Amino acid sequence: MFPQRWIEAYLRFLLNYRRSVTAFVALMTLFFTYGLTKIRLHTDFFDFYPRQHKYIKFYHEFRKMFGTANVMNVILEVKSGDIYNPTTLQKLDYITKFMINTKGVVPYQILSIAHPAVSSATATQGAVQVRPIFYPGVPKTQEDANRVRFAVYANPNIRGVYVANDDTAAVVNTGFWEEALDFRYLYDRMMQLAAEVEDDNHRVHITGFPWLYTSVLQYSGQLALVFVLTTVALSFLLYSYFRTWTGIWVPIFSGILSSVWGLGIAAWLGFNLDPLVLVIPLFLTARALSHSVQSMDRYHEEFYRLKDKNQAIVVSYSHLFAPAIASIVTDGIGLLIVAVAPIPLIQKVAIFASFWVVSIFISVVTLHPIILSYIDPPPPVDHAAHGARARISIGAGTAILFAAIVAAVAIDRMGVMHRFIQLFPPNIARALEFIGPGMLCFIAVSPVIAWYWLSYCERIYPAFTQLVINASEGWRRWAVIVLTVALYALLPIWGWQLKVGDMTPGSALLFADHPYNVAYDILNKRFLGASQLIIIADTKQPNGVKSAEALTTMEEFAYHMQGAKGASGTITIVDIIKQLARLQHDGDPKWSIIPLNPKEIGQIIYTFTQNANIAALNFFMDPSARYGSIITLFHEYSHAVIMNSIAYARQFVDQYKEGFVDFRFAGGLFGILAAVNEEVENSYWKNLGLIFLIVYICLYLTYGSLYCSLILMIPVVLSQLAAEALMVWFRIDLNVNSLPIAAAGAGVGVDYGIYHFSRMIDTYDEIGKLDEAVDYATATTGKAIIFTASTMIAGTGFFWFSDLKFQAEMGLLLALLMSFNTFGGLVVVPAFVKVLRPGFLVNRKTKAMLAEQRQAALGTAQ
Amino acid sequence: MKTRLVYLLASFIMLLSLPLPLFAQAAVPAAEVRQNLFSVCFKNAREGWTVGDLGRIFHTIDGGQNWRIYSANTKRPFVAISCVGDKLWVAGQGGQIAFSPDGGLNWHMQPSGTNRNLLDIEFVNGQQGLAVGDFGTLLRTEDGGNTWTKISLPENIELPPDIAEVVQPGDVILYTIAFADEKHVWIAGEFGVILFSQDGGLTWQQQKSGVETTLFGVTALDHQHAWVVGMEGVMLVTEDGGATWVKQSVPMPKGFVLPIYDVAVRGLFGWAVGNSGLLLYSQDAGKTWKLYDIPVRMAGSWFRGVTLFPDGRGYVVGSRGLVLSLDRDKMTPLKENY
Repeated sequence: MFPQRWIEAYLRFLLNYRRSVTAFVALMTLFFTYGLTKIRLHTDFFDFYPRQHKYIKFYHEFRKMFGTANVMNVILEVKSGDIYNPTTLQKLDYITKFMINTKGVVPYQILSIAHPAVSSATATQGAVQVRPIFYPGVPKTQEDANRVRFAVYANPNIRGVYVANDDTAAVVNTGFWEEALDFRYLYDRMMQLAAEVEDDNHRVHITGFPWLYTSVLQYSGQLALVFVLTTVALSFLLYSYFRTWTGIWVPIFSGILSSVWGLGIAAWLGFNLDPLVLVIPLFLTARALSHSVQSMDRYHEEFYRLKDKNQAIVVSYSHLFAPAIASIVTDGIGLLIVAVAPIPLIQKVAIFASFWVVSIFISVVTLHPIILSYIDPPPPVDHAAHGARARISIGAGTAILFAAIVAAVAIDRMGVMHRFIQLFPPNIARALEFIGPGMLCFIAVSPVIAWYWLSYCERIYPAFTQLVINASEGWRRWAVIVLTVALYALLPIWGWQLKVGDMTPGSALLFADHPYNVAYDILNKRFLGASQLIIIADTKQPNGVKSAEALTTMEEFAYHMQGAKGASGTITIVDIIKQLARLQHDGDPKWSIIPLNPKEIGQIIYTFTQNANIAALNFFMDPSARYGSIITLFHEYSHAVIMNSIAYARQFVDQYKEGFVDFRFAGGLFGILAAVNEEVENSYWKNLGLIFLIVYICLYLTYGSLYCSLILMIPVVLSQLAAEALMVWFRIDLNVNSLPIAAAGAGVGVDYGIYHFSRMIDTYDEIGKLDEAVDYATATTGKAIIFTASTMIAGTGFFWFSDLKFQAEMGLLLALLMSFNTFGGLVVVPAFVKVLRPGFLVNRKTKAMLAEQRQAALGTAQ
Repeated sequence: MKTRLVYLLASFIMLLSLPLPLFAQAAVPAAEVRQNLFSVCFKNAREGWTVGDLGRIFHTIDGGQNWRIYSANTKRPFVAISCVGDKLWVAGQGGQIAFSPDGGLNWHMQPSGTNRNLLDIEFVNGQQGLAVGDFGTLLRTEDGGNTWTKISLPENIELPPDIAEVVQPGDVILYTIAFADEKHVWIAGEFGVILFSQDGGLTWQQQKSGVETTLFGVTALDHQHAWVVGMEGVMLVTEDGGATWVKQSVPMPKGFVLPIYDVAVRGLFGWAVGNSGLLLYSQDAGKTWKLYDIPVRMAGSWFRGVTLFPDGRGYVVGSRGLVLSLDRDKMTPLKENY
């Protein structure tokens, strides 16, 4: 990519002006550090919405009219009996009032049977009365409670919607404006509510999107713990590898510097950090470490060979520069490309992650030579001696390690940790509970792991490296190629099943037994379901809704929608009109029909608005009576159900030719999720295509060989196929949260191949024999790759223990992706190079040949 | 090009199917009937019809497990149905009456001569029938509905005194009809009005019901024995052709006084249905009634129509496409997702 002399000139510039460069970097770092003070860990719902999507535009157009899609459901459950007793109904009243007084709520979107907006229409002595369900007041006696039961039973769209079908629970639905959500406040407020309301017979369950992200945010403390543990683990790994303090602090310093820059730019750009994407920063930090280790390792190697600090710096970095730049640029562009997804959340991640990766150019490629020039070179480390120090044989050590791990896993699985934790004083117990049983078990077993690693890693790394070298020897290289081809053929079998959107009912962000998902389960099993698809019927004129034709069309459409897969019911203004028409005629269901005369319809609506809270109509009709809404309730919001529901609605619209109304799609949670999922799906494939293209171009620019670049692409594509198959196996959803991570994994997979291949070229230039050059590259760079891969896996590994399912899954996914990348770069590339023997390598003129030629030329000239 | 061909083919098929409503709708399982159902009529224990919202008419030949959906080309609801063999009459909003000679395959509208909502229609044989509805509408036919004649209500109908001040006797809403035989027939409606005819519906005499509540349903075992039901859990019985109507005490769910919408007594068996999941049954030819204990999930449903055979088998229809199959003292919902 760059001529060698430019690189060397840059290095000399760095070394000559090291003070100025250091001062400049320090200044920049100060600038970004100041930015850090402004960073906010916060989820903004608008970040999830693809603004240009027609459903989102629709949502914004009608949000003020029909309310927000961000509804939190507070369920009050009775353990025995039913809800129709004064105590329970008073609690329900309390919860409703509590929600009204909660900041950020949409005032007219608080609905429960305790709220006047949910009304009961009754006929008394020939007159229709529309009254609150709790009329004449909050129940004080069992008599009052029975009246509530009557009102609930006698009105449509109350049971199933606000009261469980088995009468054991009631729900208070609360809408929140996206921009007014304050998750920390909401958490405290709801905890206060639960503490006040819960007793022996009452439990509060909370679900709904605002609560989902409130719950997720509760894990930020645990995330901090993961960061600390990861740093400790990485330092330990670095020490075990380098056996020097320099070996720890230089890479950790680069990691931190890049973090400051990456987070700093995010803060300066005004981005909020979504807690869900925090696995990416950790991943990026590990990448910075990885580059740092590569360069430190190469420097040490050159230093021991050349015994001169500055010379070693120039030699090692002039060789490292090309692969480092190539991988940083491909990573950076790869991450930036993720921004093609028109979803603000993803774009923000893409921008700051990309900047973060590019900052490695400063933290490693620029600063390392300077740092190394300041500090004393490390004394030679006798790695073999460290390895020999172990007192017992590796076999016995491994047995101890396995025993310890098995014991830890067993204790964790048996679930005895919770009881163990309770033995401690309350304060400590709470802290331990916060850390989590799984993590505690891991921490308990970590000294054994540390001991094992320190004792035997000097033997494990070489042994592993030898294993990798062996894998491309003789017939084995063919086995590797067959395996690669087989993986290419087999992985898509699963990969193709990868679906966009949520595949698991409830939230895939949290484990199934999380209180949020428990509440979600109650809401969807005992109620009609919480997820709404809203479609608007536009009658194209004021008061158009008040015509029999328009209402009949809406009724017909509602009946149609009830047949959609997963639908549990519909709510429209027709239900209210029919109910009131019925009540005007002694409550006979034969009168629950839409009156033919518009005047009569107008009268009914008038009666309703005179008696009831006008807000009760808001969801069904706008004030001008031009738009009416058809709300379909669903039990779940999996992608298949969402897309099917919209297609199903279209079926009706396509065959509807009468023209009384136009149908406008699509609002409610379903509209938003459909928009998000559509954009995720579209951009996922766009991302992949672009990332592969950019990686390929970068490789070509680095090596100037289409053929070699193609060989290096083999592991990149393989990792991608593996990632998709793994996501299917582990039932990880591809959604707005996981897309940036999955794409990041794809974009940054090529590094190992680049470092490895560059070393092969260097070595071939030295010795001119392909097989030996490949093996030597593996023995040197390969060893560093194995090490950095182990740091990457350790970097993401702690997330496996997260109580947040999403973090655990993403940690696992990234770790597995990194393993595949390592396998690809270390094993697949050598095998293919040895078999294919690309002309780019074997036709190169080695240094010896060049010398010979020069000699010959000089000779002839003489 | 290809899509155009598909459209062409599709419209061609649609054109073909226009005169053949038979093929327009395939049978759907009971779970997919979601309309409110108002009235039911069964030819035998397995084949019957019911009517619901949007003017839809449903037909089953397997005891309600599957339903074929018919349309009489209107979206206005039909709220009443009567069947004699394969002859069907349905009546509903805006005075519409539709007739099918062939069990529902073909329909045509009959001129009812009124635009008042009709609430019940009954035929005692293939020719002779009655229809009643809003504002004292009473129609009679002797030719299977080809011509409907308006019958005036007797002018001496007595209404409760406070009602009589504001409502003309001829304006009461009539809700229900029951033929005991070709001569004897009862109708009932608002303000406890019961009318009886002994000449097949030509002339009518008021009977003293003793109540002022609206009566929604009537059933006749013979020209001596009949039951009427109505608001506030009212059930009246006569054993003397209506000379005396006696209030019958029926059990109600605790804390509720629910309206009863329809009643049927055949042989030893009787069922009465109402609001908020109210189901009453009798095993002694309507002498005593018991409350059927329904699952709590169904407590929000209403039932509007019941039909019964002397062997105790029958059907109930109600809100949200709910159909119950009756067998003596047992009830089975034909769908789960009510």
